[in-house]
Amino acid sequence: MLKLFIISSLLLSFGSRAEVLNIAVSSNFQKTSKLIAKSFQKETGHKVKLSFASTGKHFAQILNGAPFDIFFGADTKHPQKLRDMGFVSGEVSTYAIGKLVFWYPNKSNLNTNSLFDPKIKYISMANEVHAPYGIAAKEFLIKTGNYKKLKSKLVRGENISQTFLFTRLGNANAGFVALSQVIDVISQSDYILIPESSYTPIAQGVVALKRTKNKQLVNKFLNYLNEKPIIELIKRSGYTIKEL
Amino acid sequence: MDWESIFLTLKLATMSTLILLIICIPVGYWLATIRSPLKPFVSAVFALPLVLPPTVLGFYLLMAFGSNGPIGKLTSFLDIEGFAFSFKGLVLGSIIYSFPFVLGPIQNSFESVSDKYSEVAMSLGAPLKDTLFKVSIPLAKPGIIAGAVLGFAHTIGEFGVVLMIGGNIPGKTKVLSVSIYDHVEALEYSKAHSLSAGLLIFSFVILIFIYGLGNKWRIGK
Repeated sequence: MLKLFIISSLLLSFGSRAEVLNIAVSSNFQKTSKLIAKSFQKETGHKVKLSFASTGKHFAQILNGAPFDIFFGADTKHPQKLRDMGFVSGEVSTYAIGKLVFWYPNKSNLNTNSLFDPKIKYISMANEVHAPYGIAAKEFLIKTGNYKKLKSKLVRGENISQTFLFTRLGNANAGFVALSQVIDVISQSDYILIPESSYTPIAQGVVALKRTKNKQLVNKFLNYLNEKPIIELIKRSGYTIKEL
Repeated sequence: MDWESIFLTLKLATMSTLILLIICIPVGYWLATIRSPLKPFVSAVFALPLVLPPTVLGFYLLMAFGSNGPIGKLTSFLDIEGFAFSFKGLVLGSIIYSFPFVLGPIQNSFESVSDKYSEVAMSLGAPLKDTLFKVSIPLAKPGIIAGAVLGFAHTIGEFGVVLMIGGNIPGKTKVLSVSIYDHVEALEYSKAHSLSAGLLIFSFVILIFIYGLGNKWRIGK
């Protein structure tokens, strides 16, 4: 029986010839992309390999010939730039719109005034030089006139994961992180959404890369993103979707 | 040019190296002279920063500095500034990170001189203090210099630990390597290039100095 099973599964795997997709994914989309990849693998039998880094790093890697088939950015600027430079086939499409939250663990009656709680020594945010959630946080602070007042308390994480870590370990008392990071993990009373009118929407773009050897599978994956269960999954993970 | 980062990096390397010398000369001498079954264990602990990725070191430091970590609890109990995101935190991180680089050459040179000369000095009636300061340490000087230079250079090149515990604050924790990294991430490749080239030349000169020192010592012997 066991022998039969092994032989038949061998035959099956030869028959379907599973192919591999290499996908570069921005750090903030890590959890969600793993779930999407898992269900894609289950439904199609093709393997998906995810590589996580900051969007700036992936950008430089793709410029220098990194073997990715698809690139999920944390913004639309970097994917668009790659397209302008001729590395992309097709258009940039927005797969998710990220939301910024202010997270202050163990604070009761949290609101935007809590930013000025004298107990706060450090507030972590992503580096605004290159990280989209950092750019959004700075925009919010400038727009509300709070940047100068809080400047000396701000510490920068290299990317949004490190920014989360600083607050998680209590090195920073509070932090500006992505909703996708805290949703389902952190108690809802410990964070507040930053009003979306106070920063440019963090639209996140995905592109198919020209160097791929497997255009069909790439298209299959990109179309898969538009299927209802996946859209629901992305929404549940702390993002909004641009309505067409 | 990022003069602020360059100045901060030099300050960090100088302070760390001085403290490392104060620690590593006695520790190196001790390790060179003891005959204990515990010696391999102690040596292994001291060599750990050599093999651990800087991110591991940085992560554990960050945990230790955090509100539930032992150091974080101590600083909040004493009501003093915490170690994360501060210059003193970087100094502590650098001391741990560069420790084996300073200890190694110092211990080696003590090992090669301590037996013969210090025994002679002691048998001629020299007290331990004189044996140490007039015989052993002067003879180990090339190793001490090499350790200092290596520790200094290694701290200049430190990146992973600083990135984890520093928080990228200009003038406080934003050292040279972090500036370079930021320029690369912001696609400012020409700025990254000029800083990187400077660091490359600096490191090369330091290594030439160390190898030259080794040569001179061997010829002098």
